[in-house]
Amino acid sequence: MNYRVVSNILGKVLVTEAILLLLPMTAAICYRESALPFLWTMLPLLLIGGALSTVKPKNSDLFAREGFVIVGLSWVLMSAFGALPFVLSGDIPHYIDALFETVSGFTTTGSSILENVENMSRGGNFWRLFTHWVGGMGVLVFIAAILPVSGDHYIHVMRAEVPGPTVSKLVPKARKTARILYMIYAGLTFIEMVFLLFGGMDFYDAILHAFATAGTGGFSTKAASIAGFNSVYIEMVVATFMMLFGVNFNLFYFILLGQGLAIFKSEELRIYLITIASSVLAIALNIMRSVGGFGQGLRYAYFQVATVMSTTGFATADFDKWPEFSRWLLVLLMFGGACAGSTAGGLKLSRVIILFKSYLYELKQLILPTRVKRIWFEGKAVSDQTVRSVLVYFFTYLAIIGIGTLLIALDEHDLVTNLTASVACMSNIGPGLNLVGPTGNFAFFSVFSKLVLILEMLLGRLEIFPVLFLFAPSVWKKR
Amino acid sequence: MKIVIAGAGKVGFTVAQRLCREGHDITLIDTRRELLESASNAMDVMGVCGSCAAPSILREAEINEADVFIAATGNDEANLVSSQFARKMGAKHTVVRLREQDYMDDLEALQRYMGLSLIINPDFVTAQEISRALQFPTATQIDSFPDCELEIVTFRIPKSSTLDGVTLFDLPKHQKQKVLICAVERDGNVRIPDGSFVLQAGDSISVTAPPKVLRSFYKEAESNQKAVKSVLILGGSRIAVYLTQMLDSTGVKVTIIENDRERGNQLAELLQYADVDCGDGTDTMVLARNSLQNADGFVALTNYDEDNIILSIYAKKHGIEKVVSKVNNEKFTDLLHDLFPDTTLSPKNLVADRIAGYVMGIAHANDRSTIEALYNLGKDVVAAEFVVGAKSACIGKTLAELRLKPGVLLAAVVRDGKSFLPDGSTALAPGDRAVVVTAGRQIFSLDEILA
Repeated sequence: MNYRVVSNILGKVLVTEAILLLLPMTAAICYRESALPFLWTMLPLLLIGGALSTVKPKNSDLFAREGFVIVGLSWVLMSAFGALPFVLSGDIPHYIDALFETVSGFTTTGSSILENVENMSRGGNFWRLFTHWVGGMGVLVFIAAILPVSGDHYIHVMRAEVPGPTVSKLVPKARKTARILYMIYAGLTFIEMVFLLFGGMDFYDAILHAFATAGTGGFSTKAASIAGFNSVYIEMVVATFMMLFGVNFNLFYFILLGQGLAIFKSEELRIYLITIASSVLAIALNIMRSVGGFGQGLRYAYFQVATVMSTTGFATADFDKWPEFSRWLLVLLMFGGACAGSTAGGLKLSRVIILFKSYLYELKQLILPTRVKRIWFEGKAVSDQTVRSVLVYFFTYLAIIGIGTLLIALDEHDLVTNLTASVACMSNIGPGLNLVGPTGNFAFFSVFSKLVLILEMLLGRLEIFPVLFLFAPSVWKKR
Repeated sequence: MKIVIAGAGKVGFTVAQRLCREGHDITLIDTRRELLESASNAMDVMGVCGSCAAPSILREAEINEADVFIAATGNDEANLVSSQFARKMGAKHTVVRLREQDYMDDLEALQRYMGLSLIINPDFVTAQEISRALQFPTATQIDSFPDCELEIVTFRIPKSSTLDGVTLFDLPKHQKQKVLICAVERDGNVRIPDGSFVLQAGDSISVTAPPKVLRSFYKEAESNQKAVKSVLILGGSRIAVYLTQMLDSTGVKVTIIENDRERGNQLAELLQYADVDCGDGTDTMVLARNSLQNADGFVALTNYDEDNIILSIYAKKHGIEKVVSKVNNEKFTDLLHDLFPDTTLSPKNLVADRIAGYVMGIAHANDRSTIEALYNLGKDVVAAEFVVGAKSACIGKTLAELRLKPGVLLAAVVRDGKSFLPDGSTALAPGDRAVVVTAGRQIFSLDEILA
């Protein structure tokens, strides 16, 4: 373990977080609220971060192990400090609650412990929704884009933070890749904000909901979430952008390069769109009688499918009251998530596709044992190693959801609540069913259960291994 | 710059590493995925998996935007084919690694008809480097112009050298034959010296002259170095042939020990002056009968790294001053470099050095450049070769009449395939090739040398 490089980069992460806090602080000042909670958070961040980043690495050797540790620790530290403004301002008096809210923000989950968000201070709410944007694309990718940290090995850090089974660069330099990703991210966020302003939202709500959609987060400034704006136009804009932020960002880059139609060659995108369309149709038919017609059914179904597939977690309807078929279909979609390389959580569609194909492959292998055949995905034969790692990932994912459900079951709530809470946190969605449904919240859980769910959110966002490795003694050995 | 490199083996990898550190955008092409993976783990580069001779793969590597394409696979034909695609698809410069003797026959034709910027022959480069190590052990750089009639050598003047304190005007008194001192680096500053310049010990000087003259000049300057007069080469590989030709031209007596009689006959056909002995080089009797003890230099070039290493240790022990052994195995080179510095040479490392140096030269030039070839002589010192155009302002006047910019010097002229040192009465003619040495400034066309 190259401790010097690790502490140097961690220092930069903390300083960056302090700088990011300037934004909600400005918002607080604009609305004549106290800037002190933010100032008092920035002080330790700058001191500790500054001290850590003065550690000059003897060599910049950085391997997969350091990449995992840097990403895991960065997210833990960022959340630990990011919770302070909520406690200091009194918005969320208990630290564990504030930590839950912050982790839920950074991991773009959107599960909340707040009974009524409309009581929050405006500066605090700004920070709450801004964490979605920061966490969506990732802080370490952001640092790669703005600071000259790159070096030859920074790709290991980016690989550990960017979701998806394989990470490919868009251009030869990691730094330029990070810049392109952030430019696409910021550009799309801005476009959504403009659309929302046209729909009659005020500037504060528009920018914050654009942040929350971009990160596929799900926090809202309204207690009733998007339904609180009572506008079909806003619902459609938000639903469409949720869907867009669930698309692999590499494809947006191809559009920028002028190869617009080429993106439909992407198998993952085609399956993503087909899944959305068929689920919307199925749910719309299933709920049309209870919501008053097929048109209304389409409206609610489109929004809910987009919010669950993209793992955002906004709500326009209490889908907990929908027929059993629709409820369970939404839970299934929760596992899958959206495309790899997007800001969405979940298993990622490309993994699900590879899983299905390897299942079919094994079946065919039973019938025709001598036939030599490979699994194909995106027009290429998938290496055995990728298939194996997808299988391992899938198993670990289910195991963590299972263990998580078991641990929070100690609180004596019903199975549907426990299971969907566990899935919603692991897949970074937000609301589940029953007590944690769209109209409920996570406040009633015990401190222990909250800690379990916090861990699940981090595991889900960082794709398990960076967080898991923090607990492995062999990782910490000095080299 | 955007650089595409075909081949992620030792050469491609090392070139990528050097250039990546300079901040260039590197894309590597190779059919072996594991090599690409280890490359992208070690440095900030992108990999494309596939054959470099396939247009679709080149397109995927965005060859149309590439400034330089480097074909560095181990396969000559793949290198040639891919370089042609690359050039037609928009790569501005193409560098090709070629080994086969048949292609070396007329390099200039190959370069011209295929539009290649640089052809690198690993065997030739290795032979050059061994020759340098034998004859100019303290030289930092040695380059020869295409026809090998002139060379540029850069070395540091040692203490108690006969050159210490000599004014350039007086140089002919010390030195019977004509040499041209084109650049001097002193205390980190580079300058083009004029007649009144006084040389000092510690200066790093770049000297141009025919190879034989350079060797006697160097011998005089490096009074404490014993000149190499006879060299024993083990193994009659292609490198041995190039090396023998180079050493022959400077009057060094060469003996080659080759085990295979057939190959021995071929060598005797190729090399007029060298002695070829047929025998097993690992046999002490064979070494003794070729008077190992009396040789000034020993070069081990067999195909077996282990033989080369053991024999060079043996030769060192028998008091031979200059020992060089070729080592192919990449794993050995770093280990040996620590154990026996200055005695092992890795051809692949040399090739990577040359290619990376050349590409860095291109990076310093720019699009308007009409530079035909570029030699990096040291920090800020560059020798650039131009073809004299029919409309050039340099035509028709003697050098004494032309007023040149400070920091610029005409170091050599190649006319009708013969190169010579220019003097005040030389006048450039259309079609000549002029080699211009510049210190601390960049020129991109010949007319820029005029004040």
